[in-house]
Amino acid sequence: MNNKHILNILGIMTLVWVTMLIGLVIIWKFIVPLSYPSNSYLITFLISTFKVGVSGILAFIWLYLWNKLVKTYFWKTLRGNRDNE
Amino acid sequence: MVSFSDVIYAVLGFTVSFVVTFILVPLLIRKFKEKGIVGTDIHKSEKPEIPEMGGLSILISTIIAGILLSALYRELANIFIVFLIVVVAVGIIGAIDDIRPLNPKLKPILTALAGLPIILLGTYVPRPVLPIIGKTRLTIVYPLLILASFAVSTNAVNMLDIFNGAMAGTCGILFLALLIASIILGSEAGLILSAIMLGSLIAFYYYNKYPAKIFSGDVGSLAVGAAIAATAIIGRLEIITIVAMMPHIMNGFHSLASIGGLLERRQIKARPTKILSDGRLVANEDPKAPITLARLILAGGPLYEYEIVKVLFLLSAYSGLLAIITALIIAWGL
Repeated sequence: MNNKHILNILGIMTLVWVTMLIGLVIIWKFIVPLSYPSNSYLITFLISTFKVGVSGILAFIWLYLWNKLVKTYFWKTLRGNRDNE
Repeated sequence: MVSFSDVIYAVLGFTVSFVVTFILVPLLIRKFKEKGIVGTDIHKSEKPEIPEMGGLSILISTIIAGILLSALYRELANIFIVFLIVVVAVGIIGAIDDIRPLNPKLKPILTALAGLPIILLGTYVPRPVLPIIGKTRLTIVYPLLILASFAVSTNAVNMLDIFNGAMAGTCGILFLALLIASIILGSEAGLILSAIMLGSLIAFYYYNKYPAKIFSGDVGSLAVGAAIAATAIIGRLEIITIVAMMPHIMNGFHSLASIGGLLERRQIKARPTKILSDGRLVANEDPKAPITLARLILAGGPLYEYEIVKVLFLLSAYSGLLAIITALIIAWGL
């Protein structure tokens, strides 16, 4: 069994966990508390949409980078193994 | 805070579900062999026929333990009933899928709808507790997240039910992590529901481990996935469950991302793994094959089926540990 490879997968999981926590903190500490400058329905709606939109974009970026990291690592490892054979 | 009586009920739930599953599986093996309800073990070179739909034992033991506990623990009776309704509903969807495969796009919709009883009967608190942040408020979004969580959890567990013992083992480890997290966070419902599922899964694993004597089928994997989602919501262990489910989520997410959508197993042309002449499995180099967790593990070199399952258990144990650390961060208010 390739222990280094297993450790690398555990490393990816740790990175995903840490970045998830950081992402949650960014969303809940900086984006969610954004205040509404007026009580107007339109302003409230626009700022709420902005909060959801920015949080969604952050989550999407996180998922994209996670997928990219795994894909890149997978093909690099597979090719590396083939070259060694 | 979890009381001594909660622990007693958890031990009772664990014991009942363990014993019922342990007795029931040999009977199901005999019955399914007679009726020809069998599936091919595709990761063995000799391709043996193994009885399928063994997950019925998990479903039945959960029902018996749930009904017994709802009669004994009146304060949590409605929670046990809702839990049983959703798990049985998803189990029925799984049984139908075992008998006649459902459309891959319809299955997530049906499993998502199975979360409706939780919303309609109000057995949820739309204030998930997050690490570092604390209590949050998601009044409007939370019901939608409940439906999404059922679709994700059921199908993620189903997608990892590919090797002998993989589903029962990884989900058993997951429920053990949820049980410990429930004690840390004082979730009575989380503790008892996790104990019921843990008992059932350990007994089922005994028969399902390599070389498997029975498969769980979709009736088992979808029902266990629903039990995970229901425990997370009812037990208020949402973020902890997401962390504990990381191997399942990784498997499902990267598979779907690499093939570009929901497809039935039979529709995927390139298999993620291949069998070598010595019985070991190797990652398929075809770029069209989905990047499953097994294929990712096998990128490091060929392994026997039982070795891959060991790695899956290691990854589950590690994500369980991260989940417990997450629970500790919440409990300490960091």
